[in-house]
Amino acid sequence: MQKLVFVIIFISVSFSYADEIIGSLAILNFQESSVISNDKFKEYSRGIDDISKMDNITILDSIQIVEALNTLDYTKNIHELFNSPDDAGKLGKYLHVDYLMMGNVNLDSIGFHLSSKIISSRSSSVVSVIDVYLEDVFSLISLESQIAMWELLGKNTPGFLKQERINALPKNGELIVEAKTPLGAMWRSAVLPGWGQFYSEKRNTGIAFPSLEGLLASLLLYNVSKYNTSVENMNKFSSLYHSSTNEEDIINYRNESKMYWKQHIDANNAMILLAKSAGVIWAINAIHAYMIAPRPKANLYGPDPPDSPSIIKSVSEFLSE
Amino acid sequence: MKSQKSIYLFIFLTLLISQSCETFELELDNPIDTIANEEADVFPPALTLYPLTIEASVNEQFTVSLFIVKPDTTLAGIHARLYYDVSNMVPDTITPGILFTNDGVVTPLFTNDISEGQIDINVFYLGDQFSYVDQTGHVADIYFSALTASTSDITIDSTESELVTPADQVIPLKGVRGSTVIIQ
Repeated sequence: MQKLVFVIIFISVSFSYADEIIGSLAILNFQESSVISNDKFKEYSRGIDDISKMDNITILDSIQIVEALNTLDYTKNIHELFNSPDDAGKLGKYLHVDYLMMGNVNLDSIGFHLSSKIISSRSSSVVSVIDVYLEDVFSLISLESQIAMWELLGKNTPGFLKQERINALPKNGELIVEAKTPLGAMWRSAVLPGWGQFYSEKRNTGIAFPSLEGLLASLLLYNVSKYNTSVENMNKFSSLYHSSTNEEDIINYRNESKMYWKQHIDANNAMILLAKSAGVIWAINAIHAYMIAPRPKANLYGPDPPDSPSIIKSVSEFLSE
Repeated sequence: MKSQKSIYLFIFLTLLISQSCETFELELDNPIDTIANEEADVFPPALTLYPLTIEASVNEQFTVSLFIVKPDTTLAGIHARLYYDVSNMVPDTITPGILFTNDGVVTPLFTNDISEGQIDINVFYLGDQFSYVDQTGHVADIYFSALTASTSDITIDSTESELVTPADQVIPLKGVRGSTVIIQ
């Protein structure tokens, strides 16, 4: 009964803990202040200023980021933070924010792309990702040039070009990746202990759970082998006991049979205990995977006010007009 | 692929454990074992038949051995009276065991009397020859032939059977154990 109450409390706490999603956000702005103050980036700077006025949002420039990382003894390049959710999580905890947002430009097989991530401080996991390929931007520029030509000629822009422009622009929320979910982590760990933890980029526990299960499984197999040997010997000596008519032999065979009988009971009890322990740890591993898994949410800091559409949506509407 | 392997491993371990989780009761009951006899309320000194259960086919010969268990004193002779079901079996021969003959070294007086359903076996040392025994041992072998398919008992009469010391004193017999014969 006590065990049942404990399990119910444990699961209730873990689920209520998991539901805590909306919170504060720190944006890591890796751009140098001098670059931001350049005329070319005035618009960008104005956008950043607007965001910084929102509730629960802090914007850190590269100097502040470096200072914070120095306090945390982070010795790697600050741009590597983008691919290290564990370190980003530590930074988030240090800054007392629930989420960190940062961006990076990469070159891959398709081309240059801008990648932005939001990382949960608590779980040190990637919550959402937006990838914008420069190919798309170039296509848009080409399209805009065609439209500009029509404008210069003083003609009405063909409808299909306008429609293409609308279609080419990313829609609000469309690019948000929600690949990693608590349930995704849980079913993985339920199938293979530690898999869900690796999926959530929790390497330490990802190694600890399968190691523990492996240890228990090894002990279990050892006891299975011990059990089988004991039963075999018990039957052998019991048979010798019953077929013997020599008093001394009978006493020896009785003692041997008793010893192996006790050994098979002990091995059996150990097997049951180990199997139960392995099962409980397997279940804890699945629940743990659920608790520490990424918590995707399209809008982390609450719903958009009706009169304040997102930046992408605004641009899209502006262009369509 | 990984998940498939782990499912196979899980099924294998489950089968292995379920196969292994059976525990067995240990039944140790040999009529020559004092502890087993005491568990069956047969206390020494006792006359017992070995084995406890005999399985034989019709017309097949089978052997029952008579044992003295833990006399804990010197014995110069034994008289044992056995009963059997004449309709199911017939005794052929009776031979002395190794206890009183000291494995063939000594020749005690060994007689037997077979009447309807009853066998009397007497084994005694005479004069100054190897004069006594004091341990658990084999007294005699009785060879039977199975007659009809049945289940019956061969029993020892505890009141008519007796143990005698070299001074011709009778030692009370505290326990007897017979055999069950299953003829198929």
